[in-house]
Amino acid sequence: MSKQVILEWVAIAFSVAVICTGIWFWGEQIRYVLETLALAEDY
Amino acid sequence: MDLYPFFDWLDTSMLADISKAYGGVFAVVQMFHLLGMSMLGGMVLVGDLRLLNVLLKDIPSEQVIENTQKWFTVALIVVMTSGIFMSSAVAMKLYYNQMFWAKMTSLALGVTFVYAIRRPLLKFNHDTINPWTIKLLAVTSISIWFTVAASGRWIGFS
Repeated sequence: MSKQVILEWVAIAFSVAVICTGIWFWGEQIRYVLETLALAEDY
Repeated sequence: MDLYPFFDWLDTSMLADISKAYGGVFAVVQMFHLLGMSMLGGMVLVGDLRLLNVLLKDIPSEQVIENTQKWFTVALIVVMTSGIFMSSAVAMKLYYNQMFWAKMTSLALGVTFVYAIRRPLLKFNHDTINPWTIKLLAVTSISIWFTVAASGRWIGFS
């Protein structure tokens, strides 16, 4: 396999991993903010 | 790997003495940090939006990437150098801040992504690379640097 093909596959794997991690991370932050807002409303 | 000793050392270093004592120096360094971030974000967006065929469509993407890469590297050096100085002023506070570690992790990912994957791959003729791979590269790049910027700003609110 040529260097270009290897790099393309590595790029795809890395990108998918990063995007999945990003969705999880920002999802957690949004969940935290919504929880805090809900607590503030109860208070 | 426990980084507490490093942060403890940084918090009491000569760099910290200067950054804590002289607010004017801190402000000027922060100015360079912000200018560096603007340049870095600009180079990322121009390069990635070209890869996504959104702007500068009449200019070959290889040329846009080559030119933005140079200034990206300059901006990265400015941002990291000024960032270390600014960190020394509040080192222990940053050590215990979750968003700071999110920023550092995404910064490390971003630097690795740019220099180990994106740059080497985009050195090849872009016509020979799968167009969807190029688009995925661009989206990933924008996502990573957005996370660096957003989590960096979030530090101030956490």
